Amino acid sequence: MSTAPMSVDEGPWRTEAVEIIRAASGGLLFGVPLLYTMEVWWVGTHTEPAQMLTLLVLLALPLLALNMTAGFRSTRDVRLRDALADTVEAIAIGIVVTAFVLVMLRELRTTTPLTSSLGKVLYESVPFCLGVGVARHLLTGNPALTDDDGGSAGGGDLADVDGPRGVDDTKALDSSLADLGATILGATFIGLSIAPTDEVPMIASTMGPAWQLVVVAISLATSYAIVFVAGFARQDHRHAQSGIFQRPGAETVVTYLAALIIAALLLWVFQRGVHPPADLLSRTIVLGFPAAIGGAVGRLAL
Amino acid sequence: MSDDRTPAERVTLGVSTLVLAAVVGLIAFQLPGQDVPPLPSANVVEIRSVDERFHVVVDVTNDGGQTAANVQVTGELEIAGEVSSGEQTIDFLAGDEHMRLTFVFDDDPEDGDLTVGVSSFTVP
Repeated sequence: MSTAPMSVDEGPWRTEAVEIIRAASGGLLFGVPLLYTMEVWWVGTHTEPAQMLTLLVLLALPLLALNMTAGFRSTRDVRLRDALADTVEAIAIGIVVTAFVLVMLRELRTTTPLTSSLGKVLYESVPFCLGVGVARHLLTGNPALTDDDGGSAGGGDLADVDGPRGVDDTKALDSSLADLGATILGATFIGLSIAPTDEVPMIASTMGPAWQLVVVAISLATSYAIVFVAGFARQDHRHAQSGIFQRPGAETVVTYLAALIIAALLLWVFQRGVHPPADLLSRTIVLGFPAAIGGAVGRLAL
Repeated sequence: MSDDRTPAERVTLGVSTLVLAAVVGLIAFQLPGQDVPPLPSANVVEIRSVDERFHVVVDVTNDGGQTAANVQVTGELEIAGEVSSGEQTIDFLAGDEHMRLTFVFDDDPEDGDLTVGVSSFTVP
């Protein structure tokens, strides 16, 4: 990590922010299905403090191994002390983001006892932290990738991949349709495992309209962060794409709407809350969060 | 600590260490209470009249240290020898946790003897 090359136009603070967002994005990709699993909430509720400390130690060991080989930083750690530092950071990021998502899902509230809160966060952060540990490798498929050889290459190289920037309308339309298709596939892939469960109506029943708007905002921000900030595979390629909705903001909104439609369809297929319409909306928004993450991954991976 | 770490990386590591230390500290703070057995109890906090029926809101809490599981809460209303009752189960109730339940009766609890309480639980 300390040998990470800095981009000419990026200061160390911005580079660090991108690395942290990459870590959080990798954790979300890996951990979101379990964040919607009530059995994990329950295990956390009745876990004794001594077990929690043991879990933390057991989590640190594979994370250390991952940080020696993969990790979330732009460069692979080679020194033990760097890997140890990244392990501390990965666990801290996992704990903070997991707690944030559990608050969003109304599973952590001001009335939740401290022991329950700690147990829930720790158990939910296990897959999340492992996702942080493989964040760079998760979508690039190249654990040795560095900023120099892939992440933030200059725009000039992109012409070799995309052709001239002034692509014709047909190519732009194809590119947009490909993104929509990838979003639909990714949203379906993640949403399919969550839509039939009781957790979606359970979580939705605790949310008022204002809270639902918060979930929408967080879903949009997460989708944007994964695709346009985290520096995963093809990120620069995406920034340079042309198409009818290829500007980052427009693409994020349009693909989120596609993820919401997929979420609603999956709820309809599994007969989870079609009536009344207000229920369908709140459940769709709840399922829309993992579906948006799946859609973002789909756009990067396909 | 490596000398070639950037200031931004040092801040990240410092904040992360603080977060981890705080979590470990909070867990360690809870250690002494884990041997206290569960002690769930139920108390009526409110009675509301809704559409000619009566909603009895009950607060269930666990004053023990360990979590109680499958907490059975019963509510009974006896008026002139006639008993109507309800039963609810809470999957998990952690130490110091509060849960609100509502029993619904056709008659006004003020006209008879209302009893609510925890009838059983398990330790997970």
